[in-house]
Amino acid sequence: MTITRLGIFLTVISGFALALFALPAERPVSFILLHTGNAGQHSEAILQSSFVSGELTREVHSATAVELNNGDIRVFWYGGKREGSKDTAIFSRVFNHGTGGWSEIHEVINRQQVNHDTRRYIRKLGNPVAVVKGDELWLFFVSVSVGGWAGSSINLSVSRDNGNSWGPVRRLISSPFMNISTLVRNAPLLTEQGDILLPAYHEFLGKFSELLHIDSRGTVINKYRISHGREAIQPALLATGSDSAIAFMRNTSASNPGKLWFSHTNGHIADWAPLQPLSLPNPDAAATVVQLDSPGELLLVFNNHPSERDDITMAWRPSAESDWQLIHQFEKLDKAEKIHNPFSYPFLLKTADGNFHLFYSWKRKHIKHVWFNRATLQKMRTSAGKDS
Amino acid sequence: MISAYPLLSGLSAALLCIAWASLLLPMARLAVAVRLLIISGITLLVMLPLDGNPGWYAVRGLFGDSSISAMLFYLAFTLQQNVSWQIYRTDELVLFRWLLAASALLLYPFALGLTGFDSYSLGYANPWLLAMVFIITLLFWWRSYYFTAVILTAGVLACSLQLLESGNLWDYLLDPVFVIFLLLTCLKSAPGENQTR
Repeated sequence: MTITRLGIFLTVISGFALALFALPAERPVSFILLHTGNAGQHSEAILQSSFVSGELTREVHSATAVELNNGDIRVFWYGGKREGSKDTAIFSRVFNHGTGGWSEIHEVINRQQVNHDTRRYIRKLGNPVAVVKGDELWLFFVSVSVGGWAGSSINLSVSRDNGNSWGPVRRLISSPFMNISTLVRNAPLLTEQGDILLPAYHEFLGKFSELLHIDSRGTVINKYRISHGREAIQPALLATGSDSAIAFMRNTSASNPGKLWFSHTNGHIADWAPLQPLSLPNPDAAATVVQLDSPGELLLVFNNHPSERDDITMAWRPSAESDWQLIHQFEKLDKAEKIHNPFSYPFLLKTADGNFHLFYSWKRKHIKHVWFNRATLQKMRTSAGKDS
Repeated sequence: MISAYPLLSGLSAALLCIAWASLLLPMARLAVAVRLLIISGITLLVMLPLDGNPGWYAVRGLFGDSSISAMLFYLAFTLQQNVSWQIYRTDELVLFRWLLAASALLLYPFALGLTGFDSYSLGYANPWLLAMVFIITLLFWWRSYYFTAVILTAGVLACSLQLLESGNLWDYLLDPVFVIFLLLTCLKSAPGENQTR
């Protein structure tokens, strides 16, 4: 054996031995379950709505919101001259839960900042989602360097002062194919281990849903596929137990269109049941869901039509065994109006004080906020029960 | 992490562009001085600011980061093509090409959603994938294909140290631009390549 051969052999052996030694152990996933209170049930009914995105940009879209540790609501959306234009930025403002007033709108992150921080050319920004993790607020959002949304990648920025200032933007690596085609839309879940499970989806060759397992450093450490093929995107995820979850997904199928997709875990976060169509329609549009007083009791906001986004409707399911009941319609397009997909991308947030905050894109010109409480929800259920 | 150091990120993007130029341009017909001039010109173009940002921002935005194996291979290819340093052999390149093509076939269709099986997720802290790469690396070493054995080992080590933004071993071993590059090398006969050591 020559010296070179021996040297290379030792290099290979020691290199792989080091790599094996450094291999991290597989991290389990135990969801932090939200304790669902029913505060506000006996207070006066609240149902208020307003436009919250102002006039800073001509188009706005894809609102998301998070309850801060002090009880205030921070809402995010992206806006610009039009969807995909170079001036798109992520905007935000805060709803004061004590006074019911709104802060000024401010630009959180723009294209130039992402360009600078990630050291990559960035053409446009898109969907944001946020989560409170301890004292930090983590904001994930989409950016595109080339092409349409299929060329998206996910970025992360962290704030340590409830979103008043933001740390450098970092790129998440979630796909082997030039890291393109991963997007976010719905809220992440936290785990007991201090990690984040971020619902994500692809829309390049395949249109499918998955979960990104992200550690406390903000690195993707695993991923779990919910669906495959070209059927389902934008998973709205709920934990139903410490090791079980359910997901509702937008239907992008060419062969089975028109119904909202549903799936659930089979005992492990990596093992998801085949997609099942719900009785609720879906016009290839995002839906949002929250849990009420038990893991099976859900509120879902969606477009109640198999092909048009011309309404925003809320459905209630009392338990996992029950059927869905339509309990309220927030929007319905006037038949005289000819606007394509006027109401879309609903995001429903349930807060610890028993209130609900719904945000959605209103004719792409505004983000509309609807604030209601348990008493209002009770009225909606009662009224729907009488109608049916 | 390489991306924390702009110079390293810039040089990595420059290396990619130089390797592609060496592959696509008839460099062998040019004088060595002209080749070096072209290489210097590409490096300057990639490193200097254009419209406020260095050119390599566009390269990273377009192609993402090169894998560690790709970076080392691009360097070897550039040297072998332009200054006739023999770093790998033609038969080694052929075998490596087959290996990368097979890996790409296993990785990309499944990673892009063909079935419920996600081949990309095998790259996260997976001892079985590491063991497979180890066996392949030993086979290359056994056949005296030392260059490939070294770049595979470097990729695995770089993943342990997380030198790229990714925590997935696949991203250290191959990337789609590299796979296309390697497949195209079969169209090019290099001046320094031959069957003997």
